[in-house]
Amino acid sequence: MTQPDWDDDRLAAAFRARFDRPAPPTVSRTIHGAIAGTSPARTDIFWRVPGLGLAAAAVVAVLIGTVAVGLGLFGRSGGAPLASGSGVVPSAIATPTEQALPGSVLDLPIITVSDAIVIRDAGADDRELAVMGWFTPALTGLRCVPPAPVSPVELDCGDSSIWLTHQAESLIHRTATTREVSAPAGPALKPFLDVLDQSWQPADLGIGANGDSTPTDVVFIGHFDDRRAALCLDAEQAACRDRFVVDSVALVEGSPQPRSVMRYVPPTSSVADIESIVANEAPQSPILSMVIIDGNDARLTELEPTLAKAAQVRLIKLPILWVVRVLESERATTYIVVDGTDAIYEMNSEGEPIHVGGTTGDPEVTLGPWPPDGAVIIALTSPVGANDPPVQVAVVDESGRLTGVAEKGAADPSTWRFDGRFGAYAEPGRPGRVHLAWVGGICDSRITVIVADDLGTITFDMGPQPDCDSLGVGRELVLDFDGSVNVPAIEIRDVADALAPVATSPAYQLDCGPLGPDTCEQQAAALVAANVKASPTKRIVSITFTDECMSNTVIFDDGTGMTASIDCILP
Amino acid sequence: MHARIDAIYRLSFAIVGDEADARDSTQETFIAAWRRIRELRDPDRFDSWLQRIAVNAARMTLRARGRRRVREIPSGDVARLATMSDQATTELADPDLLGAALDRLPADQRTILVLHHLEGQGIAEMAEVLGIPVGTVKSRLHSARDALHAALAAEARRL
Repeated sequence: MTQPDWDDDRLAAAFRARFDRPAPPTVSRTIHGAIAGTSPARTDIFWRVPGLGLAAAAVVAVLIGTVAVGLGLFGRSGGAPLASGSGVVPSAIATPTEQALPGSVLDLPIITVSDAIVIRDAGADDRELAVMGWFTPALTGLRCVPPAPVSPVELDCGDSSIWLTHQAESLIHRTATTREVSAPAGPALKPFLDVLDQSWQPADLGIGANGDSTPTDVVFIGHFDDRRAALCLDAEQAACRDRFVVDSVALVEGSPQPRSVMRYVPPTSSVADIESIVANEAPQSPILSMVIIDGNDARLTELEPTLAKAAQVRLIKLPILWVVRVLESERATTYIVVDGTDAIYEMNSEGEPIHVGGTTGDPEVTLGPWPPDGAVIIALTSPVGANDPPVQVAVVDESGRLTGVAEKGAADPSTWRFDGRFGAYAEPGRPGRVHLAWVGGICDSRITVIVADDLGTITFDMGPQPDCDSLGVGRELVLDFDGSVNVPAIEIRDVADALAPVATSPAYQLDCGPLGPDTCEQQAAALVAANVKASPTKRIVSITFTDECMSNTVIFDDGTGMTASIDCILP
Repeated sequence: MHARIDAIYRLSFAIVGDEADARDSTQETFIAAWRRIRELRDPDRFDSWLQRIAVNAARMTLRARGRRRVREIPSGDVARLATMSDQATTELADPDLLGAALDRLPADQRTILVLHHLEGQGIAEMAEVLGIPVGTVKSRLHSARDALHAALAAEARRL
């Protein structure tokens, strides 16, 4: 029987025929049984979901009819003393000092440092917490040369004295010639509040006439497990995750504090403008803090390292930005609003800015008019939209070593594999040749490829990207240089992603032979890992599996190779 | 109610390829959604949010399956399997060929193919459900389609 090719229609029909079947009735019953009697979250949300239907609504009905809903997540009693006269609504929570305590701030129940530590140590949890405790500030005037921070939440020598303690403890002791810092005797947290207004802090570290510091009683709103902890060195990961990142100073000596608005540069937009823009994206969510900063200001590193890094490597030219922390659903969300516009971006968990609203402004400014001066232009033959001209690529060579540009080389790109959007590959026997492969779109029109002066980075600017919901189109480009190139070490970046790198480029050609894709990739990864240990200076440029016993041939970047012939009993 | 559960079940079934696992995954999805509903900021995005939970639940199910050796034969397939020996191999229906081919693919590729070909989602929708950039979706879909075509060809040769 002759079948047509597996086009989209045939695939869709096969998918529907294979998988489009109703759920067995037991599924619904099991769901109801499992949920009934548990604590729901925000009970009204299901009712407000347009067109949600009965699925969740029925679940809610079950719960409303059978259980008393408790929304409080903490319900902890107070533990540390707070000063009186707070001016906020007192609660019935008693403290050891029998002073009235504020029950909550921004609907977050106020907890003690000890309670916060329990939450911190219970596992990854980045919920916002309102923590009351005693604050000892960082020493000033320390002569220390910390290494370049890789994450703002990493502890450095200047943080030696900063503490939020459960009990009032005097931690700094000054004599005529020295200042000593002692460690807290009781439970304590290391707060991070570098990007907040700190004018509320006591002068002279709170050190009195006797030379001992007096801590300040405060309520901080903040969180553990900050996403920026992922940027810390491995050895620092645990400490970074345990850092209590303060998003708002709620109370000082019992007095409510104004929202922190740090102005590193005069903005065009007003605070009210930004509040309105943020409210559109995050309605009824209180703003915890704001920072207005030039996108090229080095201090952006303290706020959003990924944005700062992209700016530093000139992938992006950032205008003035408002970095806004918002309390949404018990978590701090970071929005970036471009000053003078209504363009708003949300930082996702990977530290990437995702455009979520607004129609004007674009912080991702490309690298100038097209084609750039001195660029080598080549037209690609790979597919484009109907009636569209070929894709043009402008190659900008900052290395001065480029000798040729072509669309195709001798190597067959169909077996190349790369995890990201881009890949760079060596061609065996051609040490000066770099094959670039990437997945573009049918609507690509002009692309800029920038080769860095040290040949360590190749930057892609995919050019204008109309709203074109196309499938990926494989494209390739071959660059020839006047000498040997360390292709596996090349870092490929994409201007549009505003992040670096976008691909680590496993950079080896993989021929799976008779092996299935899973087995093939697993075995190839094992070979690469083994090679890293056995021959760290040599990189694999190709792996070919020749039989089902996983016999293989491996070629290295120095032109040498290795063949493994494996016997096995096949089923 | 059943329409939404059916939709999630269909998605889960297509990713995990097994009825028993799909039942578990669907249940996990709704229970997780119930527990995490406070994380949903925009009610208009409920469906994408729920699908994202479903996709993650299905992936977890696939991981767990790696430790199991016995798989349940979908009841709907029993009759087909019973009659399969009577058919010429070249007459194997597309759905069966597709199922066998999908079994060769890793979870991520199955997922993106299911979202595109079964759920009919575009690049932007898939990016939202999967929580990855549009460019990455294009790249992964491109690779997944290549892998699926190779797997279909391999299955056709095998039969």
